[in-house]
Amino acid sequence: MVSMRAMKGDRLGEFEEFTLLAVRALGDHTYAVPVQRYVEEATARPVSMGAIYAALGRLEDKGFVQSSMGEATARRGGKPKRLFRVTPIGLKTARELHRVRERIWNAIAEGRRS
Amino acid sequence: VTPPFDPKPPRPPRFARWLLRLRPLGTRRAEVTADLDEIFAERAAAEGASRAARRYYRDVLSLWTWNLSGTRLAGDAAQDLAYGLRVFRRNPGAVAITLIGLALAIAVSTSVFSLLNATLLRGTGVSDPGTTVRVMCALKDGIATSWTYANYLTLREHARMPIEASLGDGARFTMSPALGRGSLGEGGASSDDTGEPVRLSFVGEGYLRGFGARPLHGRILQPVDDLPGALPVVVASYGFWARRLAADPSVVGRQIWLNGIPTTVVGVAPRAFTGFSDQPPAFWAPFASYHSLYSGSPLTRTSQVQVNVYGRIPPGATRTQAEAELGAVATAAATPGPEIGPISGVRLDPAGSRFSGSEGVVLVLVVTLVLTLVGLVVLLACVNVANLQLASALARRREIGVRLALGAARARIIRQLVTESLALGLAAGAIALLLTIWLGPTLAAIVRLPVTVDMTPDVRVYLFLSLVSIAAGIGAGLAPARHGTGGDLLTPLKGDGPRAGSGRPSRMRSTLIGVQAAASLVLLVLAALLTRATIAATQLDIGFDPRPLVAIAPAFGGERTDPAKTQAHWNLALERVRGLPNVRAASLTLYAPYGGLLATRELTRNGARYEAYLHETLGDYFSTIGLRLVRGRPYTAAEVTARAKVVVISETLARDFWPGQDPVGQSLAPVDGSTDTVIGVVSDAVTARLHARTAAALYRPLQSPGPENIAPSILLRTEGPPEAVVPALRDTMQSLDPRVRYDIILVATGLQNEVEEPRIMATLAGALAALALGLAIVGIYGVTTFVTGQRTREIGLRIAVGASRGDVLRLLLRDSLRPVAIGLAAGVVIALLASRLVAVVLYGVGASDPLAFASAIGVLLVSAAAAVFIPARRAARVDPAFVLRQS
Repeated sequence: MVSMRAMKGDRLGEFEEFTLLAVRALGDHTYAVPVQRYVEEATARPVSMGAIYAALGRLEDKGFVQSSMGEATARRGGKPKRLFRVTPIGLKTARELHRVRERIWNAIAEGRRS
Repeated sequence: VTPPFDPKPPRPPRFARWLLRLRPLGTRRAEVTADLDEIFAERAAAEGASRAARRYYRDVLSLWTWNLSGTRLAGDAAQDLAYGLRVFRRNPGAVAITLIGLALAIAVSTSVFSLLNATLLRGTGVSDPGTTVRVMCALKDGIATSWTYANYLTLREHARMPIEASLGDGARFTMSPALGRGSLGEGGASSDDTGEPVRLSFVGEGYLRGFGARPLHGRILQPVDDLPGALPVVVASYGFWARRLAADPSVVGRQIWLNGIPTTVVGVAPRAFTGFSDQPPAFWAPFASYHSLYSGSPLTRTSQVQVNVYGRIPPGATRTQAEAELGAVATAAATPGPEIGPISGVRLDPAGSRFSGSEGVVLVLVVTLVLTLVGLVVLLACVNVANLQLASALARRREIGVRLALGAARARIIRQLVTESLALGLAAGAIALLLTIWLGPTLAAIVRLPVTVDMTPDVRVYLFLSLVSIAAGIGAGLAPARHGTGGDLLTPLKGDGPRAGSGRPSRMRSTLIGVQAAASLVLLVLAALLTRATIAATQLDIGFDPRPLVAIAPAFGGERTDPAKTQAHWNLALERVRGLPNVRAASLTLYAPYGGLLATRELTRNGARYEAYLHETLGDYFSTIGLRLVRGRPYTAAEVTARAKVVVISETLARDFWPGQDPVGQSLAPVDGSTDTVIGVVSDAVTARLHARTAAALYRPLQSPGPENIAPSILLRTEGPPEAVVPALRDTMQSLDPRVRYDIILVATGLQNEVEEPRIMATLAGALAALALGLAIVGIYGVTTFVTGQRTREIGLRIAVGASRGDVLRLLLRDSLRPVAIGLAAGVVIALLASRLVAVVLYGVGASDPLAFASAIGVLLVSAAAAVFIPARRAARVDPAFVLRQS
């Protein structure tokens, strides 16, 4: 996985960012189904489970989320689920991204004023 | 909304679940399945089961495109492909042959399909085809005809529905090669003899507009073009414009020379619009151009010219209503032409599609037959790929076994094998695409496709090619893949892979061989039948020698306003022609032999319908064409002038009506009422429709003008080669009236064209059959090599315990030829059925001709035996000591 990280760096793609934020928003002990629903509602466009799994997989490779197997619940017929949680690095990267965007938007706003 | 209580919650669709099971997920299968089930249940409750099922499909498919670890699954496919290529490299010969076979099959089927597409499937291009009808003039007894020009005008004025007409779809014109540049103003100096024959259709000015042809360039016909005295203008069809006018938009506004008349091209019709005839004409011209371009006298209400009338059912009306309404208009206002009796109404035939109406049924049959033949060839090629894959799957049992034992999912292995054959299919498709570029035009040339037909492949052709390639790939790969991965894990690992399975070829391989034998036999039989028919047609006794005969026919079945003048014209022409050197005899006839026109007369014999060809001739026609007078006498010149009710009949007709009696003096009563007295009997002759071989004919004195205003043709017998007389004939006719165009046709050439149809079909069927036979041989050879290779150990043992090499060879031959024999038997049955379908073009050959069947079976048996014998002999030569040491 080292090679993977070297290849992709620690940047966040747009869809990865949405997924990461969704995991965070859902309270850090969530699994793929609520994440899918959250991202779909937030972006208002259909999102497939495959895309969510792929994004979560990449986020985990980059160390932005961590996963663990959750306990079986009756609702899922005793089937296991994989729980995700945002890591501090993940949170920091997302915040930085947000800050960069804010700076640029501010610059745009000032540019218009002058 | 709370969903109604359901004791059994809806389950995800079965096929999607199967697809999910096929997807390798490793340790994460349980959680992913649970995730998808949960989300399905939620969606089913909130949005309904069908929406949830659709989303479930999407999710499963998304798992196939995405990898859980975040990389595209395409990586796997690339891996499969690379692996497949390594496998191919181990066996390059077999792969190459399979690839070439598959590519040829795909190329041939695509070319044939694009031919069908261009000629039949593409449709008329008429807007709103569902409401488009051909308007027929209904007479008594369910007979329907076209309309006179006058009646068309009447219908158009009185009908509530839009009415348009076209004329002369079959008319041949000459277009001089000089188009625009430089030749402008040089007038009629350009000779028509050097011009290219083109087909031109005269139409009402609203024809193009009314049926939805929007101009591609320039404009379409407008009302002003159809006013009397308007300058001649034409609209070019797309096919002609693209193939002969170099697709040059600047053609619009230029002048071309049609029949020596300068004509302005005002526009180009859209690609889709072909009009109602089988082939689009080169140009559409308004009726107003009729006299200047063609006839010399304008079309008026007194013209007896027949036109094809088309209309559109008004919105809200049914066909029956429109028929009744227009029928009332027709019976009230239209005037019946000569000899056709009162008009009883109209008949509206669907015209929007080539597959509507009675001809449509035949077209559907033709298309089905051709696609079936082509499908057979593709099937053969697929079977070869399947065989190759099957053989390699079996040979790779050990390798696959190792992979399975190491934990590879069965689905992954199947995907590997399907990827391989899909790669084969797509590679073959790519080669086929290149081949098609060359093969398509060749095929069009073989079947003599007119230049106006647009052969450029469209989306449908490419779609067909891709579908065939993919289907061939997947179809050929799936069966062996399932087969190859079956069984337990241990047997292949034990290392006696080659011994696995029984010694006999497996059932699947036998079936594949049988299918190949059957399919290639069907094609071979058809090719043999058609070849026999082609040969038979050239040797058919037609009752006269066509070689010295020449016919001079007016190039257009046009009108003559003054019968007396016309008669004088032809009499003069006849006299001049008779005076030419090397012309031994000349006569007039309405229907020149193999000149394309014919008439039949219906008679009743013992209460049943009896059809005979009707000829209208001068009395010396019989000596000119070379028919022997058997009894009685021909009609005299006086009888021709007096239009006497006398008739000369052919021997066949005489035998059928008055067996053993003297027919001379009897009276012949055709269905239409007029009674003629038989005055003579002549020998049989087949002068049209070679395939029908009908020699029943009756000859009547020529009445000019004939029915439907057909102008007579001059038939003449020459001394020496007929070609030598043609220039003199042309000069003579030209000097009589330079405005009228003639076709000078060698009767032998006309006969040759008649034979063309089975020749073309024989060529195509022969090519397909050769391809099929090649594929079958490759398949049989490949399988036999493989199977005998598998049995090396058994053969070695048999020889070691005392079997002779002859015994072994016989055993191998018997085992290998058994599926071929079964396939042959099935093929004979299918071929017997299939040959009925082509019976129409089988001249002089029965549909179950034993010679054709025997030769096809013979060729296939010999080829199959050779394909089996070579590997079998190689296997029988095995050294038993070597084999036994090996184990």
